Parts: sequence; structure tokens; C-alpha cells
Amino acid sequence: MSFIVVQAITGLASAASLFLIAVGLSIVFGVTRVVNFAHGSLYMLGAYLAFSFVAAFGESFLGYLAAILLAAIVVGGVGAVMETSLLRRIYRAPELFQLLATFGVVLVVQDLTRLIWGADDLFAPRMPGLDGAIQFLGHAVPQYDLFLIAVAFVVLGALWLLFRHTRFGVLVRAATEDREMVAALGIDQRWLFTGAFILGAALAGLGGALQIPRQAASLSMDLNIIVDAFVVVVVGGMGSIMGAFVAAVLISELLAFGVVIFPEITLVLIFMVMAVTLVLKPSGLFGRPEFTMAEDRRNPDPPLRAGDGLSRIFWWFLLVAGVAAPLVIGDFAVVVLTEIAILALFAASLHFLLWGGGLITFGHAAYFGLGAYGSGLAVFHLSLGMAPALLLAPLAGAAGALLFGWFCVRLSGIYMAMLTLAFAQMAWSAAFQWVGFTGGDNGILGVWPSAWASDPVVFYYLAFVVCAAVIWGLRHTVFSPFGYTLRATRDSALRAAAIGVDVTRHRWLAFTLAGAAAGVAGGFFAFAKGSVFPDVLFVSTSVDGLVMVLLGGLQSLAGPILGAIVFTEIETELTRLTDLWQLFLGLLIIVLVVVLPHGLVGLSALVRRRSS
Amino acid sequence: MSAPAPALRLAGIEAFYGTAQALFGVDLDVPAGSVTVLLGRNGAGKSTTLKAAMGLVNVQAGRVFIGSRDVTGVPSYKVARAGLGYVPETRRVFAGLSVEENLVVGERAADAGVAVWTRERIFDLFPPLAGMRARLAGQLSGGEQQMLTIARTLMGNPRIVLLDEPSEGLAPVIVQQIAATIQTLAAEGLTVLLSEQNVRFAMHVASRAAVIERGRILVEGPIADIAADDSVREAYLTP
Amino acid sequence: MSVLAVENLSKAFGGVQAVGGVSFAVASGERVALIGPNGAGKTTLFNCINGQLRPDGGRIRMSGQDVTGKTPHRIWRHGVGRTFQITATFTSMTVAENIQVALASADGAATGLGRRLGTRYRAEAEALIDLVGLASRTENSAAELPYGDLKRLELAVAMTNDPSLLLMDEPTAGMAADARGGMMDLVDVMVAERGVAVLFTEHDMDVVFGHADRVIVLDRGQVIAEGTPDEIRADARVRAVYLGTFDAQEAAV
Repeated sequence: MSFIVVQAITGLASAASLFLIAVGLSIVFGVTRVVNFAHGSLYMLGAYLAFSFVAAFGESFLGYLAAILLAAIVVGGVGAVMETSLLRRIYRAPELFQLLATFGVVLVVQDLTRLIWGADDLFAPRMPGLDGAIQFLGHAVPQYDLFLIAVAFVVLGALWLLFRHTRFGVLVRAATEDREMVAALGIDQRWLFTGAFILGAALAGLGGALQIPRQAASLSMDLNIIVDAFVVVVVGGMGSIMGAFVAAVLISELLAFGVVIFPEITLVLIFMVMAVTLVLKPSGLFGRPEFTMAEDRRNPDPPLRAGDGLSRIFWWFLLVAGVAAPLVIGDFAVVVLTEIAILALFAASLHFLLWGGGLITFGHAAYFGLGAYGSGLAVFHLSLGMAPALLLAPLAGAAGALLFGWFCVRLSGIYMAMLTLAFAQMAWSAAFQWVGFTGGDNGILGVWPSAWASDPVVFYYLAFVVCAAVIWGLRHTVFSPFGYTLRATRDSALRAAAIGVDVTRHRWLAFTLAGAAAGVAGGFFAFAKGSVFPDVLFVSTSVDGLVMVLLGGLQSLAGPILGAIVFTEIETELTRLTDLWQLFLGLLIIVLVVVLPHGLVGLSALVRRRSS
Repeated sequence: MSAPAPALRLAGIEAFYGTAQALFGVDLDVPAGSVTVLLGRNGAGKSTTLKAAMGLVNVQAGRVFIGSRDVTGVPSYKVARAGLGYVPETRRVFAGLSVEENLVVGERAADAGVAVWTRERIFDLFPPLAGMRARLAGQLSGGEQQMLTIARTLMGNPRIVLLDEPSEGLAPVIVQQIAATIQTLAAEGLTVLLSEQNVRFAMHVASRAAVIERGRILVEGPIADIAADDSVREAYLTP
Repeated sequence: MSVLAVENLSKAFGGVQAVGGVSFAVASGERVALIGPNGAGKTTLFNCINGQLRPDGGRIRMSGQDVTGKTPHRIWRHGVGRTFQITATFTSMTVAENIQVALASADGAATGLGRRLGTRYRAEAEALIDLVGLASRTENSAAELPYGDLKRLELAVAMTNDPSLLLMDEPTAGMAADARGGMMDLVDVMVAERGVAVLFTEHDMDVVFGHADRVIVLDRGQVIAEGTPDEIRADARVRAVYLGTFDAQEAAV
């Protein structure tokens, strides 16, 4: 009995930081409708800043407390800069672009943090005065844990007062519903947005700063916490303070008890909680249903025209260039070209969902990675040859998409994006933690092509032919009744249902189809690299795919192919020149979203219009 | 004797939605203390004219004056602060806020010489709202929401109130209550500009009228004259 | 047998009884208008019939079959075409493609991966386009159509499964006054030529009294009157809660 109480206290203490970051994410979303991916970066900055401040003046209890509060305030200031310089430019952009732009900030902050504080984990001293433990029914409970729990309740109470009983709070809630109307009533809502963002940022900074006596400051803090925070806001409901609190406690307690009882099952537990919540109440425990509705598309796509002159020339050029290239380029270039063919398929399968179905996925790496692991594990455990192992890849991708997709297609917009991401991160942690089966961090080695395909040029042609065929298949699907119906569900789900389309089922099938296609790409990727590491499942792989699609242009079938070519070339060249690739990629993403939202294809259309 | 400066003047307004032009040079004077109605069919440009005055659409030519002050191109929150109150067509109450909180959002200190609205006076004007102060606005009926949007705008103590199709979608019984409210506002000395399709309703509340068609004002004058002009009625206002 | 039979239907939200025990029927080829003040329960009733809401109690039968609680795409399989108060069309498709997609769905081919949609169902689509008078717009994107044409396109899409019942939520809302009659004339053509029955809600009383065979008046979730347009016009209770007049108000002042 006493053990249960002690474990519950540990869970509550962990819930405190999670609540602080999730509630900030939730408030910022409520007012600005932007899901701030960089919220985890603000949390990480809070931890690093607190570390430095503690080193400077944290020797006493009050000094330490001041260091924590100062870190939160400075992060609030960083939030002010971020809101006024970047977010203001993307409030009217589609959700996908907002997520990507803020992910760009994640990359930039990560490289800058590494430049300032170095790559090693930083361990802070314990908080003076709260560094001991109290005895409770024969168990030691850290004083600091109790302090954290108290802080969480104080913040919860303060936020409730703020939103119910101050004019600022009422205005923030009104702006959450209808910004234009708030302006027409004489309120300058820019300061409301900035104010809400500063509040959210400071809460994230506080959450990070409060962690340092328990946990080292590290460069992986940002993405680890943001995924947990996404789970919390999806379960609790976007825009709800109480939802963030209840869900943070629920998730943290599950982890606290899960770790003790069956460590391996904690992931499954979280998965189950999220799945059950979303099936029973898609807007989350305390969420408002309208936030789960995708917004109307303000700029409808033009009708699809199959093969007008220019695009036909483009496709034939690609085909001829793909066949002829190995005859004129060197060995290293063939390896790069193989990767381009594979990534073009990955990007095309993502584009099929994003554009063809309006399904915003931020976790497409899951199906690519499952394909890679499907092939890799078949070679490693079953000693299968290359051909049968490659056949398993689309099955693995499709199986993952079938399972995850069943939940994801029930949501839309930002909820769907976060759920797809959360599933992909779970797949990643499973690959990472299940060392006995997947090799964990050490990966699976020795996944080499069969002897007949061991020559890079032969393997290239194999990859090229299969990937081109699957891309052609996806393109054909877009023009088939299935593809048209999918686009119909995107344009108007209401109308699609009214003409007898089972919208959920249709989206699920599309999700599975795209998962299988991504799986094919993943299988080839495994053999091209000769190995599989958990990275293939990581969010950065998903983001690479999204950048390729956006770089090429979302509204064109040729976009993802063009994007894969340009992206892979830039990455190959830049990683040779600098170790600040992330910084560059982050800035590239931000520029793409803010300046070039229609990608390279859009750029060429723009140039054509200007010149005519 | 020259006429006093109008409370609101639109001069040569051209407004756009994206690339589509909605207003083609709208000229309209709203005399201080008058109730002026903008008549016209759906899509004629009534709502756009009100939004143009409020700074809620892209105005590419022409000028908007509140009294003698030029507010062309000024952000809408500043237009509101200059004394223009806006009641939108689709009501747009803050559904997740209580009735009382909706009023808090609209609250703004009065300029000198303007009728001052307090919550007590608002509840006197709309007795049904008094009994549901704590109720969420989203749970109100259409008629109650229309009262609440008008009340919310009055809390900003405007000199001029713009009402976009206040009778639309409401049952005739409620429409009659809204008509009585407009008459009360006029009696308080407020200037009112409303858009309407319902000519009977317009004749009941307004003293002046302007007819808009395809983004231009066709005629303007005392409403009795305009309503009596059979050719105008037949061509632009039926049914 | 009735195309649509609603029996003792009820639906509450929180503590509010939006629809409380409503019964009525629509016969084949009949045009029935559902009117009532705002908040009377029209929309709730409509959404229960079209499958968007699940009623708390009562039954809905279509041509004798129980469809209570079925989802919208299943309701469609029972021969129901729908149009919306605010038009819902596929804006990234041409007028023809909008109808072709619906015809493919009617044909059970929505998940077909084989032959391109291209010119499939084209002749049938063009016949419907002609019927609603959009022939000159066949290749236009739906996004480019003026609002009145979108309403016509919706009607054509709603006819693709050769329905026995059209559910129209405010079929003339948002249309210019002079175009409303034309729209309803078109609905009358569908009734005359294809024998479809129509259940519609409407605020424009000219449309209601000019194009309904029967009018059902709702107030606070109950049917308070039902009859021919002339009977409804003369009904004192209906006048009191809904139609009203300014003369009455002036008399009171």
C-alpha cells in the first residue's frame, strides 16, 4: 500500500513538468491555432539556461529558485521574439506549413544550443534545501518531488484565475474563437497573441528549468518531451487547461507504475490510452469538437489534367535521364542516384496522402522504417535472400499503416498530424528499446543485396525500375475512381458521405496503400545502406519527406520527385562542407514556408507569369 | 444653409475579395442621428459596404470618413475605437463565453458626448439576456444571439452602429423585437446604418435609404420616396 | 407506402429537448416544406433523417425499411439525395467530374483502382448537367462557379443515385431573389420527370407557399400544424409563433 502511494507521488512529480509544457502548447494553440513544434525547444532552452544561471548564482535555495525563474523569464522573451518574427507570418498558412516552420525552429535551436553549451549532457547540482528525502511509511520520498507537485498546483490555480477572472483571459478565450470579431470590437489582438505566446513559452521554460535537479540537460530533451506533450494534449483535448492537467497526470502515473510492473509494456499502455480516448472522444477528454475539424481550403486546387505537354516532357526526361545516368556518372554518384530514386518514392507516397487525400501526416517515416526493418529483420532472423526480403517490405509498411491508420483517419487536421507523429515515435522507441529483436541502437548490419545485384549499377537499375513503377502506380491511382473519390473526401467530406462514400474507410485504404508504397522504398533503403538503424523511423525522416514534398511543390504530381532530387543533392553537398546541416535545413524550411509556399514548381509558374 | 457633415461618409469605395471586385465606387453619406438602410439583393454589395467601412475587406480605392476623420486603411480595431460599432450578419457571438463575458469583450470606455451603456442598461434593453448572464452564448437561440451581438457592440459605446442584415434568418416575431431595438437606439441619439433585403422591415425602422446593385449605389434619399418609386421596387427590391 | 416515415422521433442535447416526439410521412412524388422559427428543431430533425445525428428515440423508415441511426453514406444507399444550406461540392474538380465521381459511387466503383475515371460515366453526367441547365459550364472548375450555379450542380449530384427522396436544407438560401424561383422550378422538374419526393426547409415564404404541396410547422420540437399552404397561411397559431406581421406589432404599440 505505502509503495503504491510513493510511486503515485513519483508519477505526480513527473506530471508537473509535462503539465507545464503541455498547457503552454495548449494555450498557444487555442489562441493562434498554431501547434508549436518548437515548444520542446523552449523547454530545452529553459533547462540549459537554468543550468548556467545555477552555476552563476544558485548556491542557496533562493539563488537556485531565482535561477529557475530567470530561465523561465528569458525563455518567455525568446518566445516574444519568435512570435513577432516568425509566427506572425504564418498564422494564415495551412497547418502543415505551420508545423514544418516551427520544426525548422527546432533544428535551428538544436544546432545553436550545441554551439553554445556543447554536445555533452550537463548535470546540475541538486536544489539546496530540497536535496533530501522525507520518510513516508518506510519509503524515502524526495523533497524536490513534493516541491514539483506543489508548483504544478500553483500554476494550475493561477491559470484558472487568469482565464476566468481577468479581462486578458476573457479576451484570449474570445480571440481563440473569432479573431476578426475581436478586432471589430476595438481590440488590438496582436498583443493578445504575443501575450499568450510569451505565457506559453515561459511555462515551457519553467518546465525545463525545474527538471535540471532530476535530469541532465541534453540535446534530445526537446523532441522527447514534445512527443509526450503531443500525447498529453491529444488525450486531454487541445485548448483545454484542465485537459492538459488530467492527461499529464494520467500519462505520468501510467509510466510510473508501468515501469515498476512491466517496463516493456509502458509504450503499449500509452498507445492504448490514446487509442481508447480518441475512439470514444475524438476531441480529447476536455477538448472542443470544432478544433478537430479541418478548416476549409481557401485556395482550391485546379482540376487535374493528365499529361499536358510540359509535364509529359518532364516525366519522359526523368525516365530517360534515370536510365542513361549510370552510363556517364561515377560510382559515388550512382549511390546518390539510388538514394534519390528511393527517396522519390518515399516522397511520392507521402504526397499521395497529403495532396491526394488532404491527410496531414507527420509520421510517414513509420511506414518507410517498417519497410526497412521488415527487410532487415527478414535477412537477419530468417536469413532470407534479397528478393523475398524486399517482398516483405511493402507488407510490413502496409501492416503498420493498417494498424496506425485505423486510428489516424478518424481525426483530421492538426490532431491527425500529432497522432501520426506519436505513432511513428512509438515505432521508433520500440525499435530503439527492443534490443533483442531489433539490435536497438546498434541496428541491424549486413543487409546486403544478393550477389547478382551487388554491383551498385545493377542495384541502382533494380531500385530505379521498381520505384519508378510504384510511383507510376500511385500516379495512376490519383486518376482512378479511387483517387478521385479520395480527393472528393478531401474537398468536402460532407458531400462525399452524401454520395455514399464511406469516408473513414476510404481514407484508411489510402493510408494503407501509401504505407505499402513507403514500405517498398524502406526495403530498398535497407539494402542500399546495408544496414537498418532506428533513425529511419525517427521524426527527422518524416520531416525530410515533408521538406522534399514542399520543396518540389505540394500541388503538382511532379513536385515530390523534383523535391527529392534537389533535397538529396543539397544534403549530400552540404554535409560534406559543414557540420551545421541542421541549422541550414531549419532555415531552409522556414524560408520555404514563409517565402515559397508553392515550392519550386510554384516558383517556375511564378516566373512564367511574370515573364508573360 | 449647408447640411451638417455626415456621421459616416464613404466616397468612391472599390473593394475586393482576392482578385474579385465587389464594390465599384460606392458613395454613401449617413447623416448624424439618422437611421439609414442599405437595400439590395443578395450579392449586391451590402455586407461588403459595411465591412469596407469597418476595415474588414481590402479597400483599394476611395475613402472612409468618420465625421471629419479619415479612417481609410486603418486596422479595424482602430476604426472601432473611432466610434464605429459593427454587428455582423451571422451574429458571431463567442459561443464558448458566457453572456456576461461576451459583454466584457465588447466593453470600452465612452468618448465624451456619447450615450454611455452599462450592463444594467443593456439588460433593461434586452430583458431576456438578464436572466441568462452565466449561460454560454452558444446555447442561446438565434434571436437571443442577435440581441447579444447588438448588446456586445453597444458595450463599446459607439457613435455609429452598423447592422448587417439584422432580420435575416429570424422568425418574424423576433424581427419585430429587433425593429423596436433599432428605434430605441435612434431615440438615444445613435446613428444607425443597416443593410436589409426585407423592404417592409426597412420601411418600418429607417428614415433614409440607399439602393445598391452590383457594387454601386443607384439611388439615395428619404425611404418613403424610394419605396414609392415603383421602378426601383420592381427592378431591385422584389420581393 | 411512404417514401419517408418519421415515427415519434426525439432528440435532446444536454437537458434541452430539441425534437420531442415528431411524426410525419412523405409520399412518393410529394413536396413537403418543414418550417418553423429558429430553434424550433428543424435542423436537428433534418440531421436525424439524413444520418448526421442519431436520434434518442423513435423510428425513421425509408420505403418501409428501418434506417434509424444509420450513417449518411448508408442512408444514401436507401435512395436519398441531399443538398446543403451552404453548398458542398468538390472544388478541385470540374462540373462533369463532380457528377462522375458521384455516379462512380452509385455504381459501386468508388474504390476502383483500374481504369482512369477519365470519360467513364460521361454520357450520364452530361444528361444530368443538361437537365439542370449547366451545359455551358461542363468543363469549368466548381471553384469558379457563381453561387446559383453551385446550387444547380448540387442538385445534379444529388440526383446521381436516382433517389426516391431529396432532402434539401434551405434550397434557395444565399441566392438572389430572382434566381430562387428558377431553382425551385428545377426541383419541380425533378419531381415531375423522375417522381422524386422532396422534403425541404426554407425561410423564404414565397418559395414555401409556391412550391410545397404540404407544409409542416415545427415549434419547440413539436409539430404544431400540418396542411396545405393555404391552410397554414390561415392558421392562427402559426401566424402567432412564426409568420407574424408588422401590422400586429404596430397595433400593439
